[in-house]
Formats: sequence, structure tokens, C-alpha cells
Amino acid sequence: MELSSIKDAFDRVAKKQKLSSSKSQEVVDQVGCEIEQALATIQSSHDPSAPVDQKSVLTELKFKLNAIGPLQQLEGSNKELNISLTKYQKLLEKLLNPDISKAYRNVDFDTHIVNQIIANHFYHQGLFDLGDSIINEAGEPDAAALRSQFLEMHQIIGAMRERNLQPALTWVSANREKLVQIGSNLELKIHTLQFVEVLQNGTRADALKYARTYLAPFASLNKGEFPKLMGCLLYAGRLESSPYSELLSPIHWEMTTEELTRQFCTLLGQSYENPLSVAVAAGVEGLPTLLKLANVMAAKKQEWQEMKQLPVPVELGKEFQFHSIFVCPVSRDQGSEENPPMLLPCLHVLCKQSIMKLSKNSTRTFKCPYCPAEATVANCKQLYF
Amino acid sequence: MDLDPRQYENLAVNDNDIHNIVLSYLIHNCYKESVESFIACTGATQPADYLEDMDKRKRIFHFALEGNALKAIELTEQLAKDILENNKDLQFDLLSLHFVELVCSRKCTEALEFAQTKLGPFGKEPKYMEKLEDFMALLAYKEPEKSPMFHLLSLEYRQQVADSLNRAILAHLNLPSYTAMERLIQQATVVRQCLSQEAGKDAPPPFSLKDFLRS
Repeated sequence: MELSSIKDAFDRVAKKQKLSSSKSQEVVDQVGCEIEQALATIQSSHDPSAPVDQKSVLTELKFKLNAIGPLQQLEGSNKELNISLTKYQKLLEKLLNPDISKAYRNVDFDTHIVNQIIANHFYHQGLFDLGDSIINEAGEPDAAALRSQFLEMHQIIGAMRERNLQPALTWVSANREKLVQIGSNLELKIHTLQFVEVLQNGTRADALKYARTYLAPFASLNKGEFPKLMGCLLYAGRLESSPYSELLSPIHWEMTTEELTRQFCTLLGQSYENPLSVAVAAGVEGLPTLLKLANVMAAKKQEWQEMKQLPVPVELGKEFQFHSIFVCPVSRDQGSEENPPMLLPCLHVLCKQSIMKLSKNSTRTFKCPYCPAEATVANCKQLYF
Repeated sequence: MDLDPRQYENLAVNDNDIHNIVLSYLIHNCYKESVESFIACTGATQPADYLEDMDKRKRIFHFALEGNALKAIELTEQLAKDILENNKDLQFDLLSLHFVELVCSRKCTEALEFAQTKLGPFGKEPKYMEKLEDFMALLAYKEPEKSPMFHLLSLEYRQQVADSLNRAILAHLNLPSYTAMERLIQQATVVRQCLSQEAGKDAPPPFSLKDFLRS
């Protein structure tokens, strides 16, 4: 939503309102001042020998009030305020269009899938009672497949929040090989947190024993980090007044907890970002463009919902881009499952259809359009983005 | 191909100078018996008080070389109290030698205690921090000799520390920290390299001290 333009318009109205208010006050003060002066003149005539001509005083007052012209002044400032208010109202109607139904098309969707998505959303968030409730009410027992894994994840996270790393350590050691395959050093990070706890609360010998047992295996993989951790042994029990005091920061716990959540989801084959939240956020971001399009098309008496492709791009932020898109440099077509990107031996990439055209349906060798290298269809490999 | 001998064979070199150069080298390295033999053979002038100081230096040097750093520190302080007080780098290196000895003897708890009390205070200065971390990392290994920090356990490292200590003592005794022999070889090498560069294409191959000594 274009909230900044709404805020700007609101600020303009507020400014005009302040201006109008101060102008009104100024006019009232001027009128009051003139009346008080006239009253003072009338009341000052205690001397019966020289009576004041009240009529002339009032005539003069009337003349002065006409010169001030309070009505015209108030009308002018209020008129400007009313114009701003009207503009603001129109802007609100334009931007905060309550009828968003124009911006979506009715698509047939599988209720079972939606129920599963919602149930998994609750499990992902750790709201297990809600997840169970929707599964029972909707009669979707299959949707509970991920419940136990998400339950384990939230138990680990809950324990970490209470400074108990045992469940996390059990999980990382059980999944060590998988974590190594994805290039994770989560196990070292969790052991580091535990080591810092031992350094602060255990004996020097305990800390040394912990380092030798649990940190030493990571020495060769983390040449930069490992000596620093060993350096901490010099300050066992007084880490807060050492060059390593930064290790006591709670941010390490928060970051490690987040990393564990990410990698738990990765090994589960689930997204760390909640799919339902992502879908809603993307919809909200794309909504203004679609509403604008719907209004323009309605004015032209055209039906945008019949179109196969939108005539305008719906720009979404980087956080909504999960997959690379390949566009063939020869045919300018976007890659798809039927027409995937293919890697030539010379390492240039074309789409499958372009390769088939160049090779006359695999009947002959062909030259790469970007270099002198020759290739056959058999030599080309499909790429997966 | 070396420089043409005709360019330098007519330069007269005083035997006395040669004797002094060799003698200063032997004294510097505490080769006491060789010094005595050399003086007896050549009739070179015997430097004052050299024997007593050389004896002390020799003992200190050997203790450092063997890794017995505490003994080396004790004898150094007897010889000249302020040497180590004024040279924190050397003090750190000697204390770390003792730490390494404890680690090699598998006295890890003792090593950690020593590191905390004696090496810990150096951690306040960033320049010692990285070295200190490397020493501490030795504690993690059951076989520190096979660790990535194995060089800290080597004879070369002890030799380096012993040399630094020897030079510091010599400087304290108002003797040259580097021998005339070393300086002459360094200067000759630089001169030869400069001559090679100036000669350009026609230059003899780059000067190598090893090759020169063989020829």
C-alpha cells in the first residue's frame, strides 16, 4: 500500500487545519480587542461635564470591524481547509479501496491442500493445539505427518530459550552427516555456547576437558575460530572482563536458535519462512498493482481475468524470489519443464527447443551460437535451477 | 660464473681483522673452548671479562634451547635484572617456551594454570593475542606434535627464542647484538645482488652464498 502518500496528504490537511485554527483565533482576537477598546472608551466617561458620544464610538467600532473583515478572512481559510479535506478523502478512497475482490480471480483449489497448509502453518508456529483442532474438524489425518518433527523442533527451541542445550546437541549429533553435507557448522556453534557456559560456571578443568572432547574435532575445519575459543580458557570464570566478553552476548543464543530452526526445516524439506505468511505477504505486495489494473481494465470495458498473461509486471521484493528464471538467449523463451535449459559442452546454455531446432531434431551436429564449438544433442546436459 | 678474481685479489686484508671477525663470532655463539684454542693459536688479544660472561650466556642459551625456560629466566635475571623487564616480547617468548614444555610433558592442567597466571596478563595487548591463542590451542590435542601448531614445539622455535635472548644479553653488556661475520655476509650478498642487477643481461647468475662457499 502507498502509505507514504497517504501520510503526506494527511500531513498537508493537518497543516491546513492548524493554519485555519490559528487564523480564526487571530481574527477573533482582533475583533475582541476592538470591542474591548470601545467598551473602555465608553466606561471611561465618569466626568458628567464632558459626556462621551456613545453613538460615535459605536460607529467607529463598526467601521473598524468592517475594515478587519472577519467573515471574509474566516471563509478564505476554511475554504482552503475544505479543499484539502476533500482531496484527502478522494485519495483514501482511491488507495484504500475496500473492494479487493476485483484483484483476484476465482481459481478452483483443493480444500484438502488448503487445510494441510493451514494445519502445517500452526505446527510450524508451534501452535499444536490449533493444528490438531483443524485436522480433527476438517477430517484431515494425513496433514499431521509433520507434526512430530515440528514438535521436536519446538521442544529443542524451548529448551534453548531456557539455556538447556542438551536436546539441541542430541539432534545435531544424530544429524551430523546431513548437516556436514549442507556445509553447516551448527554443531560447533552449539558446542561453543555450551563451552562458554562451562567456562563461566564450571571449573577450569571442566572447561579444558570439554574443549578437548567436543571442540577439538572441529579444529581443522575452523582454523580461525578454534584458537579463539581455546584462548577463552585463560579467562575461565571471568570471561566478562576478557577480550572475549562478546561471547557472553545473548545474541549468540538467538542467532544459533534461528540457525538451528533454519537447518531443521532444511533437513525436513520445509521452508524456514512460513509458506502461508509468504503467500499472504506476496499477495499484499502485489495487490495495489492488481487493483490499479482492474480499475483501468474496467474503465476500458475489458476483462483482465480472461488474460493468460498480465499486461503489467507485478514487482515483488528479493525476499519473494526462491528460484532463478532462465530465459533462452536464442528464442527469448522462458525455461519450463517441457523446455528446460540445456548446458552445451562449451558451457553456454540454451533452451531445449533451440537445441532441437539447431540440430534439426537431433539429426546432426550443430555449432554453438555464441562460440565456434560444435556439439550434439547427446552431449548436452539438462540444468536444474 | 663468479666475479673475475682480478677485481679483488689485490685488496689487502689485515690478518688481525680476520682474527677479530672470527673471534667475535665464536664469542657471540659461546664456543668457549674454540675461543681459547683460537687465542692460543693466533695470539689474538683476549677481550676483558669475556670468559665469565660467556659462561653465563652459554648456560642461559642452552637452557632456553632445551626448553627449560624458567631456569633461563632465573639466570638472566641474575646476570641483568632489567633485561626481561624492559623486553616484554622476550619475556612472553620465554614464558611460552615453558608452557610448551608442560604441554609436551602432557601436564595439561598445570600448563593451563601456568598460562592463566603468567601468560594471561599479556592478553591485554592485541599483539600477543593471536600467538597466545595458538599456544592455548595446543591444549586441545592429545598429540600436540601432530597439531597445526606443531611449529611451536620445534627446535627451530626454541633456537629462535634462545637467539633473541642471547642478543638481548649481548646488547645489555654493550656488545654487538649481531656478529661482524653476519653483517659482512649480509652486506656482501646485497652488494653482489646490486651488481647483478646493474649488469643486466651480461650479469653472472644471481649470487648464492652456498655456491660461493662450495667454490
